[in-house]
Amino acid sequence: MGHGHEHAHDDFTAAADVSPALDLSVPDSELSPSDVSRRGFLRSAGLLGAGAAASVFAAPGVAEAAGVAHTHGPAGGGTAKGGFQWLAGDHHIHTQYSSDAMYRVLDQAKRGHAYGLDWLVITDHGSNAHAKIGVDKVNPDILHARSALPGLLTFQGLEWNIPAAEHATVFVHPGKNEVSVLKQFEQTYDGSQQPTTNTDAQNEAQAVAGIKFLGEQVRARKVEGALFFANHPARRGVDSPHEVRNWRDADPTVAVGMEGAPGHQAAGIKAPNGRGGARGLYDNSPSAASFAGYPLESYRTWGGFDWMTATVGGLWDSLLAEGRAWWITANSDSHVVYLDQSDHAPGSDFEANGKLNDPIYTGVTNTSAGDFWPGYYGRTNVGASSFSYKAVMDGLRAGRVWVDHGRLIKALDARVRVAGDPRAASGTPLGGVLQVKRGTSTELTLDIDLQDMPNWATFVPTLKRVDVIVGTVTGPVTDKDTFVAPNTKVVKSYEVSPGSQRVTIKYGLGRLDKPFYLRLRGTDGNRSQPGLMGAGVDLVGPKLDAIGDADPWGDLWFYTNPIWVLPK
Amino acid sequence: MTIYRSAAALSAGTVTPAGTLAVPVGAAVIGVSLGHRELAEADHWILSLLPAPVLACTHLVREPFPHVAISLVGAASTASPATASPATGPTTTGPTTTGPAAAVPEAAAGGSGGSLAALPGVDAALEAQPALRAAADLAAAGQSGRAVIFPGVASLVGTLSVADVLALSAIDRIEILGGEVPDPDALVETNDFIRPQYRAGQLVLTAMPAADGRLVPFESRTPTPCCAAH
Repeated sequence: MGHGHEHAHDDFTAAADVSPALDLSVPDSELSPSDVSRRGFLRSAGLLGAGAAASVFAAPGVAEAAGVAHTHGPAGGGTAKGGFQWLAGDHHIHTQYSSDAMYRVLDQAKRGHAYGLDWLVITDHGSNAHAKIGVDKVNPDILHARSALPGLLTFQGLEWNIPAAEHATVFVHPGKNEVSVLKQFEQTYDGSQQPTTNTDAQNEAQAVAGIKFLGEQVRARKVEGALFFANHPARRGVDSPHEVRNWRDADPTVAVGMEGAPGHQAAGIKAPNGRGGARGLYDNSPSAASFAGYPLESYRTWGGFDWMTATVGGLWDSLLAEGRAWWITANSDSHVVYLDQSDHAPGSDFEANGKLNDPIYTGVTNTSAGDFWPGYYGRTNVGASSFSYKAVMDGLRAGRVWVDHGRLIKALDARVRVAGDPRAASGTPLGGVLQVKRGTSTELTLDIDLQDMPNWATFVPTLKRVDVIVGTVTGPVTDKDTFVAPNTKVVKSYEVSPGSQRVTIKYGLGRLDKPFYLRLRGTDGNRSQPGLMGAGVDLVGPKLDAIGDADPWGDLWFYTNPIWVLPK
Repeated sequence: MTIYRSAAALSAGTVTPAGTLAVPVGAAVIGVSLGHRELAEADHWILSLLPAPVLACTHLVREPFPHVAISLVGAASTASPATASPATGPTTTGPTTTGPAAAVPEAAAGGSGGSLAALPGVDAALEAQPALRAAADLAAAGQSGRAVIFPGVASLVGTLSVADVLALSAIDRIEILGGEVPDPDALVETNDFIRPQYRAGQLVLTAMPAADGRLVPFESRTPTPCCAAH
C-alpha cells in the first residue's frame, strides 16, 4: 500500500524544527560538535526516535506494512524491554497555593510518601494570583520537600486551565529554570490569562500553542522534560475529541495522556458519614461550552473511572485504534481531605499573598470533604529504569503505566511476545510496540502479584476477574471528533480462584493478520453492568456510580495502558 | 447584554406535552437570546417572568459564542417588566424554587406577535443584533430543549414516585442513566429542581440511581463549579 498522502509532514523531527540534530537522516559524523551534543541530549531525554511519538506508525514503513494510512508525527510508545522498577505516583495535588485547597506542600508530600508514593507533582490552579505570586512562592516549599523527603520525587507543576477546555496537569523536570518556564507558560497560556473576547477557535489555538511552547523549552535545553495530562477530561463535556487529538499532535513528547480516573474519589461516600455527592465530583450537566455529541453517560463516573476510559470501544479506544499513543493515569486531586481534622486558618488574603495561611488543627472531623490524601487510594504505577525524575518522566512518556484504586493488586507485569519465546525480559511491555512479520503468532504473558497486604482501609483487596481488551488498529480517523472504536471489545475474561497468590496468564493472540492493540482491566467483581457499547463488547463492565452512595473501597479496578502488535 | 427575539407560531404536533395539561396548539413561540453563558443564568431570567409562560426551554447554542438561548410559549401580553429581572449581566445565583403557575394565559394563544413587546428586558433598540438572531430563531423553532417551566412543574417538589411524576406533570417518560428500567413505585428525590428534555417530541426526565434505592434527576441544582481559582 502506498503512502496515502503527499503533503508535507509536520512532525517535529522534520518540519517543525530544522536543526540538523533533529534530522535523523544526518549521521552523527556529519554533525557539528554542538549538534552532536544536542542530539545526545535529546536522545537521552527520550525526545528522539521511538520514544517520542504521536503514532505507533511513525517509524518508516510501519504504516505501509500495517496496511493503514500513515499518521503524522514521530514513533510512539517506546521500545524499551527488560525489567523495570515500578514507581507509584500522583500527578495531581493541590496545596495552600490554590484558593480552594489548604495544605502545605510538606503536608501533602509527607502524606503521599507515607502512603506509598515514590513521586508526586504539586499542581496548584493557574490563576491571576498563582501566575503572579504563587508560582514563585511555592518553589522554596518544593525544594524543602525534596531535601526533607529524599525518598520521594517531588515535581513542580501547575493545573493549567486549558483555554477552551478543562484542566490539565503540566509539569517539568526539576532544574534552575523550572520556575521561569512554568511561570512564562502560565502567564502566557493559562485560560485565566486569555482575553475574554477570544473566540473558541482562538482559545483552542492558544492551547495548542501552549503545548508547543513546553516542547520548545525542552529542545532549547531550558528544562529536561515537560509533560501534560488532561485532568478529569469528561467531567463537564468540554474536552471535545478533536481537542484531545490536537493536544497530542501539538507535541507528542509533551501531551501524552489523560486521567483515566479522576480524583475526589471520596465524594460519593454516603451521608452522614460522607459527603453524599457524586464520585469524582462528576455531577455536571451539558453546558453551552460542552461538546454536543457527548451523551449524558459521559458526565458521570463508572466504577470510579472517567467515561472516556471506562467505556470499552469508547473515546480512549478510538485513539488507540488510530495507533495514537495516549496514556491514562490515576490521581488524588487532593484539595481538602475526607475525615481530616484541620481547617482553613482565618485571615488569609489569597489575592495579595498568592497563598492561604497554614491550616490549623481543629479537632473537628471533616465528613463533607471529597478527597483522599495522595497515595491513599489511587496510584499511577510507572515502569522506570531507575529512581530518578528523568526515569519517571521517561516511563510516563513511554506509557509504561498501569493504575489501580485501593491497592487492588500488588504488582503487574504484562508483555506481548512472539509465541513460545521463553525469555522473560524479551517481551514488549505496556506502552510498547511489537513488530513481527505477518503470520507470526504472538501471545500475551501476564503476571499479577495479588495483594497480600491490607490497604489504607485496612482490608486486603481480592481480585476477582481480569479482562483482556483487544482492538483492531485502523489508522487515522477522518473525523477528528470520532469517539467510538467499533472493533474493540473484551475478548477474554479470567476468573481468579479464591486464595490465589498469583495470577499467571498466557493468552494466544493468534497469527498476526491485522494490526491490533490490547489493554487489560481487572476488578474486585463487586459492581458491574454491561458496557455502554453493549454486552457483546463488554459483558461485565464497570457500573455507573450512584449519586450519594458510592463507596470507593467497595468498587476497585485496575487498568493498564496498551501494547500494540504491528506487522513489519 | 444583547437580546434578540424571534417568534413563530406553534403548530400541531410540535412541542406538545402529552396529557391534560397540553399547551394550546397555535400558541406563540418566542425565541430569546440574551447571551447567557450558564444555564443557571438563563433559568434565573426565565423564572423572573411574570406571569410565567406555560412552557420555557433552554437551548445550548455554539454560535456566535457558547451560550444559552431560550424559547417561551404562552408568554402573556400582560407580562410586567417592572416585576421581572432583566438580564443585566451574568449571575451565579441559582433559580428560585418558586413554581410557576401552570395556567395558560389567555393572551398566549393566537398570533405570533402580540405578546412580544411585554417581555422584560426587551428593548427594540437591541433587536437588530444579527449575531444572536440565529440562536433566537433556533430556540423558537426547536422541538428539542431543556424545560425549565412546563405544565405541572409546580407539583414536582419533595419526594415523589415515578408514577406521580408522570401523572402530575407533562413529563412523558423517566429514563434511568445506566439503563435500568424505572419502577413506577420508585421514589424520586426531586430536590425541587426538575429539568426534563424534549426528545423527538416527548418530554423525558433522565434520572440517576441514588442512595437508599431512590432516584435523583440527572441534572443537579448545585453542580460542582468548574474551578474556584479563576
